[in-house]
Amino acid sequence: MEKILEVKKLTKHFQVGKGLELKAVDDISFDIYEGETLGLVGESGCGKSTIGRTIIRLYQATSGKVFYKGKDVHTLSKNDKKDFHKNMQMIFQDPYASLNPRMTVADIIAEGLDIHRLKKGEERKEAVYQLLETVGLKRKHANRYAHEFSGGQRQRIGIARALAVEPQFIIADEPISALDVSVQAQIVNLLIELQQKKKLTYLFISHDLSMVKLISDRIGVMYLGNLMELATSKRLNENPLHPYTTSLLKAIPIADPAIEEAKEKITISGDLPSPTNPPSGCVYQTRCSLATEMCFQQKPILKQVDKQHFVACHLA
Amino acid sequence: MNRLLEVKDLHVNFNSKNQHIQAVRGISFHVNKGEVLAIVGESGCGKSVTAKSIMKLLPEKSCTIPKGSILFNGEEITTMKKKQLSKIRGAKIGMVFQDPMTSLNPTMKVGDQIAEGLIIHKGYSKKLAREKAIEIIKQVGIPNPVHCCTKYPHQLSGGMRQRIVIAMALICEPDLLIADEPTTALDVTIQSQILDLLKELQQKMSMAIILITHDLGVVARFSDRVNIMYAGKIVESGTKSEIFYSPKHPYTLGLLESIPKLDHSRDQKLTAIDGTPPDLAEPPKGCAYTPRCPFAMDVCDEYNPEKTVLSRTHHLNCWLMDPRAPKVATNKAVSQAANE
Repeated sequence: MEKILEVKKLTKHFQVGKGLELKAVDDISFDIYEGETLGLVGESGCGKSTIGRTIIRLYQATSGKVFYKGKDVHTLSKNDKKDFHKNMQMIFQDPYASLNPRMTVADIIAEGLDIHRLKKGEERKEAVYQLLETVGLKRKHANRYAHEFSGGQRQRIGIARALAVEPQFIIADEPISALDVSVQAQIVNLLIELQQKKKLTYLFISHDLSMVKLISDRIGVMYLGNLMELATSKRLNENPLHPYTTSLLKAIPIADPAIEEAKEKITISGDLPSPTNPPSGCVYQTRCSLATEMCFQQKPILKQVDKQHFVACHLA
Repeated sequence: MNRLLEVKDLHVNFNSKNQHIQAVRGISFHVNKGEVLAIVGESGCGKSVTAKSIMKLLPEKSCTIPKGSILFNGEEITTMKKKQLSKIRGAKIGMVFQDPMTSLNPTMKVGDQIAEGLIIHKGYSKKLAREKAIEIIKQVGIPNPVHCCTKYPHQLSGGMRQRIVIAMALICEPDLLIADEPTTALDVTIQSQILDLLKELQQKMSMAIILITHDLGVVARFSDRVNIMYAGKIVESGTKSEIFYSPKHPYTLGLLESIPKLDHSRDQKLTAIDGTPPDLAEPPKGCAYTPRCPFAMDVCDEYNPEKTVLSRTHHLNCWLMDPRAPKVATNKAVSQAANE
């Protein structure tokens, strides 16, 4: 498989006043292969959305590089930039905030087509109808406004908008977390179906590990701006190596009383440390029950333990 | 039976200029002393409205209760005067809301907020109430409680704030705690800490909890009995194992199937429930789930299903399980799906 995206030592810091620096993403590297889904999971504030937004150039990187098909996305020429954005699209978390309330659905979906001057007139209209049907909406919805739709339907509009310019790579930033359980499954099924049909590559960002497990080929687990573990979905589930991954897997409540009752009490204690003042050594050291002297002093690097398995832990 | 709370045929309407939204359409349930009852449903199904009507926290101007009764310890809440109510609210029934930031007063130190309940309800002196507050802060697992008392809510993290809210709800040792999505705003690792804490305190104080949530995982971990709500009605009710291992209502089945299992493989599709819940301004004549139900029959469109009792604890409202329903294909389909 070919690498479609390479993230190299990406760092994104935010200035948060009084000379404080928030290390949202701290020296992260990973690759995404063509046609796969890479899931990024982690708790709120771990930097997973920042990575997505930096990749698609909504943020400038503090340091480090992102290569899309061999080209550095942060130093693209004007023409290349346009081309890049045609190839990479994003689906946002909140389907209420991410659609313009003053535009009709047809205009929202076709905005990309207009900007890139891809289709006009009848052709544009036909394209909108096609897209609506692809995402499971009806032709008659084209002239309505976003507020006339339910959350799940709005998320479908957001997906149709992302698909309009026929991208190859889609960043889905918590696309289902604002939706009801029964509707979540609809959207996940739609995303999987579209991937198979259009050969898309996804970066799927979510805090819901059980959904990420389902949709992803490989999963990256993030904590406080760092990538702690990266492995295939199956391996991560069966053989998690990082203590954080283990407790994250245990913390998810499973909808099966027998499993829940058999579960031992959760081992993760304490709160997330502040990313403006991360702990020394391993960032997880303050909550890790296995931490040793070495963890307090030295920051572990992401090392390869198997062909498809990377982990940043001194103990693994 | 030692029934703590009994809700009978409760209806709640929201009235605006041009429409009446029937948020709760005739629900009946009870809570026994010391048990955890979960109310599960999608957003807009009326679960929070139910909780708020028990505390009588709904806006009086726009909201009416045309029918039904709520008995707490044998006393009728729906017709209660303010003065009487304030003796129950906070003292006998505690409440934990979803968002810990908006349910705390930002201008008050958290220690004072917790102590307030004791001073008002139990007539404690300020000093004594403060000591009690420190004690309960310790119980909810906050390190250095004396120091924490002097902080304002914005200085605490989300998980800590929710612990404070729980401490506030529990300080008067209520008989019933209503927890409305207590962990939805929290991260998974914090969520499991809070759930473990609630469970521990519940057993220690032998109080009853009504847990309102949309997360079946949380229900599996935490509750004794479960009510499944859809479009303002309770569609199925049973013990935890009855609901999870022999669900009979197609909606319960659909909910359980739409979440990924532990051993779910990537090629298996999730079974989604098509469509969306109905508009409660104009609720359907028959069963509200009919348009989304894969097993719907003609009768479902026309008439509301009556209650079918399967066991002492397990009952549901669905025509498929009605004794008059054809015993053949449909019932088989449901039980087959349940077994899969």
